[in-house]
Amino acid sequence: MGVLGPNGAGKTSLIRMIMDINAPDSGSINFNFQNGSGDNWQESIGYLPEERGLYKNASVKDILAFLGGLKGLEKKVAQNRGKEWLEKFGLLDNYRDKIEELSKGMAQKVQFATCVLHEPELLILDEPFSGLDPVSQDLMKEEIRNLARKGTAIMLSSHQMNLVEEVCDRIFLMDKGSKVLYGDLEDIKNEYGNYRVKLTTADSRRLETFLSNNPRIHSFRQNKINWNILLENEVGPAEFIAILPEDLSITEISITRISLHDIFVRVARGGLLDAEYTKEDL
Amino acid sequence: MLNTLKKTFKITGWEVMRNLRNKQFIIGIFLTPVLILLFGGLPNLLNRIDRPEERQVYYLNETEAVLNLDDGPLNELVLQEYQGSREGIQESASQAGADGYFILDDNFFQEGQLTLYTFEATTASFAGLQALLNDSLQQYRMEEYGLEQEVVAEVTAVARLQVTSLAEDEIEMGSRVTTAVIFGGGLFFLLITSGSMLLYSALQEKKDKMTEIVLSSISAEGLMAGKIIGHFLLGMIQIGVWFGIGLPLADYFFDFPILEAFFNPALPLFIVFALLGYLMFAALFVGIGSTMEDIQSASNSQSMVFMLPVLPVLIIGPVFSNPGGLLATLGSLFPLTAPIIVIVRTALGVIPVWEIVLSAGILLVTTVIFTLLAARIFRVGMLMYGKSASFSEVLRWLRH
Repeated sequence: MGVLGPNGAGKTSLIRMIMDINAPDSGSINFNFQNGSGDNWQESIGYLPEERGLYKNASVKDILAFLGGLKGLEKKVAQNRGKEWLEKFGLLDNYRDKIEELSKGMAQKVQFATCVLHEPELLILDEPFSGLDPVSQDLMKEEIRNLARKGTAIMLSSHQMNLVEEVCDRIFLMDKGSKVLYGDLEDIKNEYGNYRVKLTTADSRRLETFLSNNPRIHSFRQNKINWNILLENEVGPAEFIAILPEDLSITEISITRISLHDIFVRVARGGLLDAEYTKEDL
Repeated sequence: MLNTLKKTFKITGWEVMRNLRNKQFIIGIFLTPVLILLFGGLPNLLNRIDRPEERQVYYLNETEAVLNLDDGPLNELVLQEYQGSREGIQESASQAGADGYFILDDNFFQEGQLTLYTFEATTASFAGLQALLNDSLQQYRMEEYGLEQEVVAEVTAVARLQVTSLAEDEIEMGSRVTTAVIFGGGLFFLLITSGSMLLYSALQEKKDKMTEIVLSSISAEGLMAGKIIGHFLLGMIQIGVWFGIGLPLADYFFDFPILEAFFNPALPLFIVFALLGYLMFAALFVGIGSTMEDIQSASNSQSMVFMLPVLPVLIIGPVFSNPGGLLATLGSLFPLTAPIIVIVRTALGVIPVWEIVLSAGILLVTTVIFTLLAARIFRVGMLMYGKSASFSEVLRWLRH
């Protein structure tokens, strides 16, 4: 599940409340773990906070043993599982290195390893991709998917909505400390995600005549020979292609759903659904 | 509960092991007693190694008076009577390698003035010779007044004062003072060293941005308790090493009955006050430490807090001079000075039982309040990055 929202939406505050680091003003948070209850409930959760850091003058080996120990693991078990994770990230040679000797990205991977060592039922990742290069982001996404496949419930917070779309199947959209949207990603996209058509044609006059006053078209914008067309909610790609004038000369066409970012702007900020060109379009 | 305790001790173990592997800590442990002994014992040691050399002074006695060389504290001064003439003494003394010479003649007994000639300029003390000549002069003058030898002896006999305490007391005052210095001083060092280590530990935790990770496994109170216990153990290890190294050396240098101090019957009381005092200051330090971004950004009010353990030192002089006085009583009841002052007064054997009980009660309540307040501050302060908290912010945390 992805917790989404712009900076300052309250994502980290929500997570800190779940982790019992900050207290909520009202309400309560309950878990339904298979293992772990009472005062060892934290052992069922793995947490990667937004503020990245590890004891700089401690070795990777000691950090794994210490943080694993706090999650109820024996020293040897923690270190062995830690080694397995280091191997996945290509860091096994750094097992005895001090944290200060590692690069920022390497330390971030070690930190990820420390929060999954104890095989938590729930894994909370706050901005897990920030500070990672594209290759490391892909590696992290893959490991997150692997853990989810093995049955770990994963709650992932990010303001990078495109990355969340790639790994989450449920989202919780929030703004100014409140829920804006919650549900299955596909359902949300079906409900709010109109299709956007990018079309290039030399026959602009013909296309404009077709689009104007067409009940299946929500809005459209033109930039020379490039057109950006937003379809009405219930109109899908197949239907749009079917109703296009037969002899319209088309050089390029792509039809995609509007992004989570656009949905957020539309729902949370009361933004008008518009075919206006975004940075990506231009 | 058991799980929380287990995790608290894991934090304790981590703090202890991290520091024991830290070169700076290890060097500090061994270097501090060496420095203390160096500055405290060096003059004594140098004195032993570099004793003043024996000095020889020739003298020519032209009078009937006899210099009583056995009686005076001449120290390293050796007087050699010269049997020749007034003209030859300088040359003879010089040839014999003496440091100087003087001539005792009737003029001395008339005017009380004598000149000592030295071959080289010197800063050495001739107080012993001065006392010897003084005695001879007094003796001569009294005899001049016709006083009998026995009368002179009786008149010049010195008074002797012996102080005997009527209190039924098996422990000597010297031993009591040593006990007071060892336990009072030991606690002071524990507060200063462990307190600053705790502060740096909280700051380092923030700097390393580890707080949130650790707090996802243990409560803020558990983390704080683990740190406090850890640094208490480190402090004890430090003091243990200091005593281990320092006791035999101090015994050699200062000749104090130091080991006797540990067999003091009030030892359990010392431990209670030391523990409460440590916990109170530890809570204060760790709480304030969590409100700071780094040591440089500490405000004046925050810096003042770190001076608080020094308070007892300001009044320890008057307390030693008058351990039963008003200042001593106030110092025993004021919680920030109580641990050290009560220990010192108990060691000196001059504190009523009611004061001990009342002081322990006030200290216990203060420690509990400080710990609860520190836990509140610690919980919020440790997650605050980028700036030090203002006084009003800390007050707001306490209210919520």
